[in-house]
Amino acid sequence: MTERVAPLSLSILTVAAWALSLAIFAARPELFVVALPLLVTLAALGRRPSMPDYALTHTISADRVYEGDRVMVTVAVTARSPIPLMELVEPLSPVSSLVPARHRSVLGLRAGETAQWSHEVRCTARGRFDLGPCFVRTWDGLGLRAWEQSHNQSYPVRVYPRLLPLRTLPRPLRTQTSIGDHVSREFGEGIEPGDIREFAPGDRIKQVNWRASLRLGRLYVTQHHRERNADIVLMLDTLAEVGRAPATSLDLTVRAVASLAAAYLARKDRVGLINYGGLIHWVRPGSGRVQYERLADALLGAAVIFTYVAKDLALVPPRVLPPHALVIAVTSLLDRRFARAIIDLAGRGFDLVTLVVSPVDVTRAALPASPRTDLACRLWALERRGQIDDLRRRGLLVLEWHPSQPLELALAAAGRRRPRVVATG
Amino acid sequence: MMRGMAVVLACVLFVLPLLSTPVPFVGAIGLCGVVLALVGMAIRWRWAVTAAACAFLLEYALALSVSAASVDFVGAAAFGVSLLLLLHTGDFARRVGPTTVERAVRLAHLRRWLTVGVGTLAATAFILAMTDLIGAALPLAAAPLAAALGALGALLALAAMVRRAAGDGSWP
Repeated sequence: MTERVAPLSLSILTVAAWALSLAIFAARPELFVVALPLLVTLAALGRRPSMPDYALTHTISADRVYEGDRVMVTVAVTARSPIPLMELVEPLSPVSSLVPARHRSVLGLRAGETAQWSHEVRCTARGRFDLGPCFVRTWDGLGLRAWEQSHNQSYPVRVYPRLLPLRTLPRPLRTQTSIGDHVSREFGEGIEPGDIREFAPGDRIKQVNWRASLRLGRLYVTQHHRERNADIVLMLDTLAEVGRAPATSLDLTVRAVASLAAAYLARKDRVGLINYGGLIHWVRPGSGRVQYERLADALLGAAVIFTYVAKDLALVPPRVLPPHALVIAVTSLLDRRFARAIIDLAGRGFDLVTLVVSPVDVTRAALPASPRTDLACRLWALERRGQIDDLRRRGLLVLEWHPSQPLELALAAAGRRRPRVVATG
Repeated sequence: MMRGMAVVLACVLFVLPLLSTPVPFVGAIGLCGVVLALVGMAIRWRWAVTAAACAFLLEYALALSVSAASVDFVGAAAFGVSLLLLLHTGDFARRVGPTTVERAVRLAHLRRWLTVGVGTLAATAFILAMTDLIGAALPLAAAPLAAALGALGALLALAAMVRRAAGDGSWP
């Protein structure tokens, strides 16, 4: 705890000195008397001060939230000695903003009294930040002396990317062996009818197709397609970004990846992640709630790390990028190295869908509106259309998402262009 | 509330010297003090309030010099206490800032300042009584010199005390 003399002492000393100077120059004894109350008050500084004694506890309402969510911070102070005035300040993180209240409070406490102060923080951008370092300043009764202390206990808060609602998802060409929501080519237990065949010993009566049996004069059974899960690998482009935080092209890309991951995991698929940028790192495909947390944690730290080196996807182990997986590359196509990487993947026979997040709208929103900006953005959009057409000519399925529109609208195009294909199971 | 009280005190300090000496240039200096006090309260700047207190003191000194009235220790002590309360309220408003403070805390501070005011008045009366005793023992010619030296000594002693209490010398 640091003890200081408060600025009020200096003010009183200045005024007292001025009063005494005037008293001497004006030769008026009243001015000496005017200075006396000021000098008597200042003499209180000569007393040995008693340090303020208090206990401070800090609680936060949640340590894992989504972008735009609010966290309630509650600070409780219990005074063990009387505290005439106490000021509490909590610095804000760059990725958080205050909801109406203030991040500063002033309290007065009697000995043994407990006071609570709460304020709400809105988490504006994804990432990890700390809540809790709290600076406390207390004053004595006359405001002549102050004590300062910082309570550095911090509470980490993780802000996950906001999830966008998705009902339609690109369907994988190939399925895996576990039970899931995708229709497999293999016959077995399922609800999707596939074919009919002659009755064989062991078939159950409920499988008999009575209409076909009556028409053909022999017993026939209906075969159903199995419902299986799929491996989905989400490939995130972190080579470059444009725009203003918290709505950069990378933020939108991360939101799209998180939404796709949550939607596929809800359908019992195994989802993995490859973060393709200055540093390449990955999360092995898995399923369930824990896998979502793994993916979301990996997405929290997604940032652009500049490099001239083009990363080779051949370095990614097959367990991370299984041969039968559906790869969804989410990119803003700002860096040509990513385009080369996805062309390479398609050439290696991967089932690939490319979701292109348009950086033009993001850039337009970040720049002041002017005819020049408008013209530049339109020219850029034309150039990008050529780039996307080039990828389509190479046989890639490219979906374009304009952030002003729902993500589901962009993904619905995949459903139309990819008729339900039941391939090898 | 505290800022309102500071403004009221500034008005009182402005009016008090004018009651005995209604001279325009004395009033002009007092008006400067009121403006400085208002600015200090509006932007919560303590040096503006300190400057306002100095302006009120100058107004009071000029009023005393111009009027050449008889010595009034009670009025002077009241003026001094008002100056002290102006500095206290101005500083409290600055410390609290735009944050809302509970009524109980404000009332506790008002009680404390009232106690300080009464205490300093009592101490002033005691010191005046003591100076009467010492003054009787001093030769008349040495009285101004003793007063000046005493004032300088008290000021230096208090400055040293503030300096010592400040420790590392840094101000918040």
